[in-house]
Amino acid sequence: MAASLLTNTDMRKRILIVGSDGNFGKELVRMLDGQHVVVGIDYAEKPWFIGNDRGGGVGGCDVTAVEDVFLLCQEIPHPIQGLVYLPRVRLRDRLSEVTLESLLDEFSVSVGGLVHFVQALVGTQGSSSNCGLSVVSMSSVLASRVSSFEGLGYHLSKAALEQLVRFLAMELGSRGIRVNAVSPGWMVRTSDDLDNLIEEVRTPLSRVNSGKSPANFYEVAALISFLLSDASQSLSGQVISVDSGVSNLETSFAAIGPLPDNWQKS
Amino acid sequence: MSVALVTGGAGSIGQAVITRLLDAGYLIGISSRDPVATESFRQSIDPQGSRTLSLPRHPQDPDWANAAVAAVVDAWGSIDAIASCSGGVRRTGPWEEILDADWHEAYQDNVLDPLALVRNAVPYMKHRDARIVFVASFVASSPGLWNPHYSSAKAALVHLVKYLARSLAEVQISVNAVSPGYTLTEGLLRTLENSPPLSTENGADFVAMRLKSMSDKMPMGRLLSPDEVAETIVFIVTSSRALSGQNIIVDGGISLSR
Repeated sequence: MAASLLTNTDMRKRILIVGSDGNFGKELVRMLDGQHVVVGIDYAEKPWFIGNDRGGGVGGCDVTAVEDVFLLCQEIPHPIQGLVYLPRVRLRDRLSEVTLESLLDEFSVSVGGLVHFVQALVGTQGSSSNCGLSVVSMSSVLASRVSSFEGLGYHLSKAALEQLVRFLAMELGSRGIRVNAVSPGWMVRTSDDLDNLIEEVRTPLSRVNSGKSPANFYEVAALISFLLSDASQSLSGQVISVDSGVSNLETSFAAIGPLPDNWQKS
Repeated sequence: MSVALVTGGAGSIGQAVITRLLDAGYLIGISSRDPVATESFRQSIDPQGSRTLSLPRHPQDPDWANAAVAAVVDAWGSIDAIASCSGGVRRTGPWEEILDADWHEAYQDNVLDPLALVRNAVPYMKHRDARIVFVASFVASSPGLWNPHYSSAKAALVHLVKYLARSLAEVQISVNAVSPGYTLTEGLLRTLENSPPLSTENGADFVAMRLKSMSDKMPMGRLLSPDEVAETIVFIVTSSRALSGQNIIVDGGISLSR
């Protein structure tokens, strides 16, 4: 398993980040590492596998298989006080390409994987260790808006994820477990990345954001860091949009249109 | 140094916000209708008086917002953040017992006063990556049976936040709301004490009974502390500009089960 298991110290939390090697995951690890003990689990080649994929799921973890996730969580030192679930964007199927199987695949990772990790952490840590666990997942402005940038499965799974967050928060609140999600719009690695977008993307994006720059990775990571901390101990069941106000607009995101293949200059 | 203007400076949440912003290095103008309590608080947190400014407000003064903003700008030149922590209602009860004067007061204190402050302050906040946070309430979206004037006024405030967020985006001002759940503040206690007891409530214990009723409804079994609410307000003020037009509900999950 491609996880780094660090020594715990009393003053810091142990945070499990699923998807720690993605573009955003790396920024999040960079922010949290040092403040906390970060256990990062990387994506593998197959979209629903994490850790080292040695073929057939051996040595890796299929997030869609609850038994796999339980075994993985048992291998990680306890207690785990934070879980950040960053499902990988998998499919950009257009309506003509969507099948029931492709939709189920998307749901099984984006939604099912989170359910399995929560079940596993609640099951493996025991009720006495659960107090203070904060779960944060990644939704999207496309849970409540539409865009041709992403496929149908992505839109549907994000909408479902937000209800899952509320449901889990209600179910697990009495155990002291908090569950929230952050919902970015378009994210850029740094504000300088805007210059790297071709004009056909940058102009409508700027218009949708009312002239404000999209959120950068650091800003989204800072919100996740806050939700993992004790400073947000009364926040649960919330989906917080960090999207420069896009979700506050009455117009849909679809105004931007399909994402061209050459949407980046370099 | 960044400059903040905080209203409700004599209240529990307002003071918790002020303390944290001071620790974060802000210069702070403190608006309050209780100048004596505010000055005592100010002396305790800023004995030299170099980083805070008292902005006493007469309850009947229609020009209070202009005077407060002018005083802060005269002292420090601009404004980087507003935390509007004032509001509330004097008494609560079922809708048929709420008087016209109660309704007017609820909307004045919870909608028109925050709006007046923003209207006066925006010229000094433009293009500074400024932040505005209003304290609303979870009852704005999950109303109970007891405070129709308060819950509808806070709902109006949340809607105003969304409108202002869109309007002020082009001048780089973010606007958000924080909606606390049941929070144990002096303001809450005053409101409960001013509200008539039901026939089913023992007159001597009805405040305690109501506090217990609120606590029992909270998933965590207790009311929130002002500090817990202040943490989220200060996070918004001091961090991401990409947060805007949001109503962040800090209620321990109570609204999930209503």
